[in-house]
Amino acid sequence: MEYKDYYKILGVERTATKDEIKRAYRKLARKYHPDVNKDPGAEDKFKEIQEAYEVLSDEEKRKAYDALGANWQAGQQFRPPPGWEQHFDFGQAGAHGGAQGFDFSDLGGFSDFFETLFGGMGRRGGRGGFSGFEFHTGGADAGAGMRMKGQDIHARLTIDLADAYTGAERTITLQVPEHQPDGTVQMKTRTLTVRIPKGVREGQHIRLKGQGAPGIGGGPAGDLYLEVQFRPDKRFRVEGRDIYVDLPLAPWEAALGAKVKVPLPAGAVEMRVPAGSQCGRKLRLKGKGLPGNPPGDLYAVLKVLLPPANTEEAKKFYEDMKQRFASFNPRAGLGV
Amino acid sequence: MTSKNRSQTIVPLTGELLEDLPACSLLELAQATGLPAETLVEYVEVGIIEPASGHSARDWRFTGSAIVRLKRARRLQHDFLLEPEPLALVLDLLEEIDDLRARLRHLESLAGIS
Repeated sequence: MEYKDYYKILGVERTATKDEIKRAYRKLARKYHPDVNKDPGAEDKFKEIQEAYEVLSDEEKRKAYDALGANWQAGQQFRPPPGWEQHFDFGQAGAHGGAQGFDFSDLGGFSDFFETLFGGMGRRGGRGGFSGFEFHTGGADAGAGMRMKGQDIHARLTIDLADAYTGAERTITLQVPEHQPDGTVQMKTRTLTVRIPKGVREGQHIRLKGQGAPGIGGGPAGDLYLEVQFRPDKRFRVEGRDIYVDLPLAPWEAALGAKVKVPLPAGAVEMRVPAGSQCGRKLRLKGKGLPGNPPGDLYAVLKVLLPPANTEEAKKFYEDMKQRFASFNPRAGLGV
Repeated sequence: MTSKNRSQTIVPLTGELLEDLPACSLLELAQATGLPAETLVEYVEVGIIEPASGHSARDWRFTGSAIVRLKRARRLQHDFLLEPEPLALVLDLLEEIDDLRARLRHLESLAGIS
């Protein structure tokens, strides 16, 4: 288990006041909130910031953390000191009431480091998932005997463009918060196989009813929302349902016309390139974009690649071309 | 629990695409999101969500993208303690940034910048 430097994560001194810690936290939370920052790393960073704030904003937890000493380095192998559990008894951390303010914990929950030191002490927020509606759930300290719907859970699902093109099945692993009878929340790992609907677009949401957090006191389970993201693909760009692919051509193919193979996210098709095609020209393959009603189109953007002039013969050929196209001025459009 | 998990890994789950759901009424939206109808009416008034059609609360129709926007709104409201009006502004700006980023990506790729 690796030591976590919570002060460094929030960018504050070990001597920082409560207000300084709060300010630093709010600033970072605005920057890395997963609804604001779409970078793939933002969610993990946000989780780390939350974890650091969870500890440093709580007097008891901060005291305990400080007692580990200031000589630890972030990432250093860490083992809790003997007698740790008995030494610091946090009792009912839930008594703080649901945390106000930032509380957007990630599906993965907090780190092993946190769980070892402070696990079983409950979290003030107790909110798993980057969940939206929580009128039914309140915080971790939902009273015993209440019957409530489980939390909705939001997760990002990264798929290949080919999965959206043909439809697919994907197995995902989630951390789902479960309320324990004593009012604390435990993260449980759950594995699901999900059907990816054919034609799904980036940014769309798949709702799986009843696959969110279990209900409390016999209440119905929440729903699971999967936000679809495409894994970046070097060959294809997607715009709505339309797909763009750069299609390299030899000069004679562009000049004389040709039948060439065009890759699709799944498979390939043959396309006729008309004679006299210039670089940058877009050729449309109707209906070959993402499936739907109506389906998108696939655009092949032509790029002419020159064969290298690296042999005597090739050089002679280019020389010959130069003579024969003496009147051709590629910069005529620039007026020079 | 374990055996349940195991069966879940075998049978693939089929979800619904929120954005493709048929339009729903105010009451159906309230049910789907767990939010009181009065809150939703307030959200429509300040522009957090917009009905796709209809002139009064009784015949408003919402698309699935209203659910998506509501969920984002609730997270932002909860995490940044936002009042409805600034919340609507934040949502609009975030959406605009998303659109601009997408356009930038598209234009960059057309221009051959990677």
